Formats: sequence, C-alpha cells, structure tokens
Amino acid sequence: MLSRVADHLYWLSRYLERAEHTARLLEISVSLAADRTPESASRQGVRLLSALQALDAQRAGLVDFHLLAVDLTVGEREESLLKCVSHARENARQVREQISVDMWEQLNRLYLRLLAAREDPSWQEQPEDLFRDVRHSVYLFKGMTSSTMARGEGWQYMELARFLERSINTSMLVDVHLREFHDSLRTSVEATEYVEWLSLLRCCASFDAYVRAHSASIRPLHVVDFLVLDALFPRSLRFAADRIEESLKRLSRLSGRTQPARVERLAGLLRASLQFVQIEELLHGDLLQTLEHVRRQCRLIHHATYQSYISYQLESEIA
Amino acid sequence: MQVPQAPLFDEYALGRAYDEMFGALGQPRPHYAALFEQLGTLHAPELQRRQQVADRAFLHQGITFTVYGDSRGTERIFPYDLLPRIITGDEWRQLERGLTQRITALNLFLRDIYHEGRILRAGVVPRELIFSCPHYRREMRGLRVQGDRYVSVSGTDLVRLADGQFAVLLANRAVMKRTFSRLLARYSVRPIDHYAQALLRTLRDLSPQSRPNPTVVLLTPGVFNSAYFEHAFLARQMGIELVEGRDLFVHDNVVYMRTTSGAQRVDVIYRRVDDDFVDPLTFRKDSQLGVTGLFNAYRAGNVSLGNAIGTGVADDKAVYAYVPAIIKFYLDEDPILRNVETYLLDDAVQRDHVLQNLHQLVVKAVGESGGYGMLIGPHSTAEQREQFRAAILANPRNYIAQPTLDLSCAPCFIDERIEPRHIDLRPYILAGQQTVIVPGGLTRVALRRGSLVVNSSQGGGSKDTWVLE
Repeated sequence: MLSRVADHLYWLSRYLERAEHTARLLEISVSLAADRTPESASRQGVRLLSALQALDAQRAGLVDFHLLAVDLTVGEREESLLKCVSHARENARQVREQISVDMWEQLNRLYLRLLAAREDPSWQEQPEDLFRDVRHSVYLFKGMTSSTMARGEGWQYMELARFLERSINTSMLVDVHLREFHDSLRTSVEATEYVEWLSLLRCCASFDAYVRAHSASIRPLHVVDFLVLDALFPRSLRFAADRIEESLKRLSRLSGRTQPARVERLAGLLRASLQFVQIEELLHGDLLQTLEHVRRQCRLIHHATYQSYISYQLESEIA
Repeated sequence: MQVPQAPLFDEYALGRAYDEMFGALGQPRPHYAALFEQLGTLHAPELQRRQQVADRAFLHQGITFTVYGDSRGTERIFPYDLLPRIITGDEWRQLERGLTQRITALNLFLRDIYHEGRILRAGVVPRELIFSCPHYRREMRGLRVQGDRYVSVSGTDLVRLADGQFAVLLANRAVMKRTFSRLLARYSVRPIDHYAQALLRTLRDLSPQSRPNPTVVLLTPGVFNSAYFEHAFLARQMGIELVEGRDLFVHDNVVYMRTTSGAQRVDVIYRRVDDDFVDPLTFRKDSQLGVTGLFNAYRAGNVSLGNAIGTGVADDKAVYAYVPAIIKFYLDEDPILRNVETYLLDDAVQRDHVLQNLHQLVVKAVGESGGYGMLIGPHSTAEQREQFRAAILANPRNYIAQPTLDLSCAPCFIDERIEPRHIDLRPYILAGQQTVIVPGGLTRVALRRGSLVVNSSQGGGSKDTWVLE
C-alpha cells in the first residue's frame, strides 16, 4: 500500500472518530444545559472545551453555552464538527479509489448535511437532532466500512487510528471530569453529582453497558474502573490498548516488515500498563498521571508508526 | 418545418443544422422513435422530478468539480442533459473503422518524426510545421517506445484538460439506467462497462519486455485537478495504485513508489500529467507534480509511459490539416473519416483568404483547448475580429481557420421543455495490441441556445450516448 494512502486512511478514521465523540458530548451537554443555571452551564462549557482540548485563554472566562455549541458544530474553529468532517472528507477524497462507493457517499452526505446547517440555523431549535444524526452517520459509515472493506493494511490503519483517537478522547474526558468531581470518588454520590457521573457514562456511550456490568447503582469508583480498565467494553482505555497492539502486529505482518520493533514495544507497554493493574492501585497512586501516561503513549505510538511505515528515510530502503 | 405534436416539444424548431432526432420533414428518425414516444407520454413535472433525482445522484456520488476562486470551495456537478443521444450500429461501425485507421496512421507518423523523418523528407508534411510545434520534444529523438505505441489512450486527452469527462460518461450511464430503465430495455444498447478492463490491458501491453508481471500505476496531478475524480475512478476500476509525483522516486534509473512495505518498483505509468510537468530535471524546472529523474528512467527503458512523451504533435491543429495525407502516406488508403477543411495561416495565400473572410470562419489557436483562444466568425464582434487579425499577423503559425460547421442538433431538456442544442462526439480510443473503441464516447452539448461551444469550461455539458447493436 502507498504510504500516502495509509496516511490518508489513518486521518480519515481519526477525524471521524473525533467527530463522533464531539457530537456525543454536544448532544449530552445540550440536553443537560437546559436545566442548569447560567453559571453552572458556563462551567460545563469550560469542561466541554477542556475535554476537547480546545480551551484557550480568552475562553476560560464566562462561556455562553448556546453560542459555544453552535461554534463547536458549524464554526470555523478546528474542533467543530464541520471541520472534523471536512478534514475526514478531504482525506477520503485523496483515496477515493481505496474506499467503497457506499462509504464515500455516506461521508459526502454527512458533509453536505453540516454544510446546510451552517447556512440555515433552524437546526438550533432542536440541536440534539443534528448531533444524533451526525453520530448515527458516523456509525453508519463505520458499519459500511466494516461490511465492505477487506481486512488488509488499509483497514488496520483505520482501526489503529480509531482506537488511538478514542483513547486520547476518553482519557481526556475522564481527566477533566475527575478534576472537578475528584472528591466523590471516596464518598457516596450526592444527588446533584449523580447527574454528572451519569452524563460521563453517557458521553462514553457506556451507560447501558455499565448498568449490565455493575447494576444501576452509579458509583464513581466503578464508573472510572469501567471506563479505564474494563476488558470487554469497546470504549474503555484497556480495550483500546488491546486493539492498538493487535493492529500494529497485523500491520507488521501484512507489510512484511521486520524492523517496527519499537512501535510494537510501545503498544505492548501501554497494553500491559492497563492489563495488570487494579483500580484501587491506581487510586493510591495518581490516577490523573496514569491518564496522562496513556495519552503520551498514544502520541509516541503515532510517531513510531509514521517512522516505520509512512515517512521513513528513503536511503535506508534501497540496498 | 414542424415536428409532431407533443406537450414537451411545443417550442422545438428545426433549423439548418442536421437534427439527430427528426428528419427533414419533421418525422422522428426510426432509431429515435421509441425515445420520442416515451417523451410524448411524459410531462414537464415528471421529467423535472427525474432530473432532480439524477442531480442528487451526481451530488451524492461527489461527481463534482470545484469552482476555482471560490473560497468556500463550492462544488458543482458537471452540467449534463437528461436525454440520451442515439447512434445506430451501422454509423458506429463506420466510425470505428475510421478511428482505427486514424490512430494507426498517427502512431506511425509519431514514430517516423522522432526517427527517420521519411514523411518530412518526402515533403508530404513540411519540416517547419513539426519543428515549430511546441509539443515536439527533441528529447524523444531516436528513443525507442515500447511496441511503437506512442498514443495508447486518446479521447481522454493527456495534453489538454479532460475535465473528468470519462467518468462523467460512465456516471451518466449509471444515472440513465435509473432514469430511463424501461426505455433502455426497448433499445439494445452496447454496454460500456468493460472500459477499465480494456484500458488496463492496453497499459500492460506497454510493459518493458523484461517485466512479465508489470506494476501499473496512474499518475495524477492530485486532488485539485479538475479531472481528479476521473483519475480516482479509473484507478479504482482497474485496481491499480493512484499515485502522485511525491509517491514516486527514481534510483539508478528505476522508478519506485513509496509503500508501507518499502520501495516497490513501477513498470508502467499511465500519466495524466502533461509532458511539461513529468520531470523537473528534463522539462519544466518548477514542476511540483512530476518525478525527478523519470525521463532518464524512461530513456533507459526501465519504465513505460502511456502516452509517450511528445505525442502532442499529433494534436496540433495545424498538423490536423495533414491527417488525410498522413493516412495516405503510411497506409496507402483513403481516409474513412472526412477531415474538416483547414486553412494554414503561415501560408500567405490561405492567410489572405482567411483574413478577408473572418466573419464566416472559425479561427482556433493550434495549441489551445477547452474552447479558449477561439473566434467564431458569425457570432463575433468587429472588435474581436480585429484582435484576431492582429494576433494572426503577429504569429500565423499559432492559428488555423475552418469553415463554421453546423454541428448537428439533438433534443435537450431545458427549462421545462425540450429544445434542440448543438452537440458533438468525443470517442475514446485504446491502442494496444488491438485497438478498442468505447461504444459511446462522450457527447458534448452546447447548453446555451445557438451556441457552438461545447467545452464544459464555457457553458457546455454532456449527454449519455447510446450505441445500438
């Protein structure tokens, strides 16, 4: 596979994962914001921005939540849904011949939908509808990808990208949440904070799965345990680390390369750090540091993958 | 002359030009009868609805081009007309023979002018005409081209902007299948789906002999090129890599591409990048689209290019005037397809004639395409004619003139009714070990009333073309 093609498929997948995550966060925040005081809604807005790594200095003050939601949907800023989907589409456009017609058309439709939303503000009366549509569009795209794409290198790059992006997003979200509600980890949940923990689960699309695993009693410790260390839930950090390692192993086999040892070692380290640890141990140490560690490893894996397969030195290639 | 009564044909007037659908007495021609009958049962709103469905299909498939100079990156669909153009089997077979003859002669001609130059020595084509052509590449002198096939693919033009036309052709057919499914069943129309397969075979035929299992790639200028959609489409249909210049590199006169498995050797490049831009080392130094050292690898015979470098000579409009002579010289046959009478303006007698009759003639710049650099005498202003007169006198070799042709007309669905518009035909020819011509080609339409310019950059559109068995 052309290195450039791998690059585009990788970013196509990452941007769509980001769009899905942002849409879900917006959907849930918007539905909660209605019941909040302006001051509390503003704090929520700041948390939302921090979780998306989009907080800049002038935003740290009071935030008009409604304006923020519009800006994060169709605004010019890099984090907006429209931008994420445009970037995904630009990457897809560069590899039109690699993806199925269904995939392209689906992505194109999503793009046109957001473009229309930029021109016509009527969606703002029921913003949840738009966010849900975006989320469902991305699900549909993933479903089409899963049922039309051969499990070759291209697929593995998309998987790798998706789980790297998801790990960074989830770890950032939990991080921001813990900074605000750290105390409740050790105490029982207050009625007001119950909603916040519930929404954290929903922001990770994990409420139903959590309830099945831990019953309907929302206990912060269990929530964090579930989102960080659960082995079976596809949005937990542990699960993502497994998939990242698996994709990298397959990439090395599919490309017939022997030298990517470094990137595989990094992925193994990340997986092991989440596989053999218990939540109580994490609590004794510094949970936030662990989350930061996950993000750092993900960035290192990204760079090492590029060095091995995509932007390698040509001199070393021709004997 | 009036055409038969039908609600959509109220405003349909027959002019001087040959009408594809109606005979001189206004009756529908036999091969158009079924289409006319079908249209007679339809009303404007129904046709409009089908048009919208088709528009949406184009938009969703992203068969669009980006409007230059629009910062919001507006994408438009390629203009097209809903009604098919129909060609009978007999007409087509005649066309096929003529095109095959022509491409065979042109390949012999190109080989000759880059080797012995027999046709120049015999004085059939003047030397100055060839050596003054900007597309003549001295670098190609004496260079052996695999199988002597200089032009492998024509119609999908390498030298000029292709505007995504081939893809439009196939997409048109797909949309048409939905729009006129029952009608299509009444005609037996020759399919065009095998084009990609035939193209791949033609390209494989070009492979250097020592490479039995060649790696073929399509070299595109990239996503900002107006024909990018077509490049991606063809690469996918052929199952080959779509590469950009930055994916390729040359080492020891061998071309490689950068893949996730390391460097992989490339044997045949179907290049959709102009001569000027393929290799900054040999041609234009400022090219960002090409591959440094590609031409040396080509000279060394380690890679083949489709089409060869320097084939633009055969597209020169002044060389066009000599095509009948070229066919006669190499094949000793009479040309099957008629040539349009062409005046060469560096000949003083012809030039005088043309300058006196500018208001009746069409003047074209020899190297330009896309309907630019063109004067259509009968539709021109005195001021435009003065401009062309000055330009011709300044550089006569750069222009030719032809009589204004009445391009034939075909019915088009425009503004809620059917009206005649001028059309042409652009067939696609593959010259490999066998010559294959796509049954259909692209019919281009001048969508503006009365206009003779069919280029999509100037208000032209396309139509599906049905060739009957």
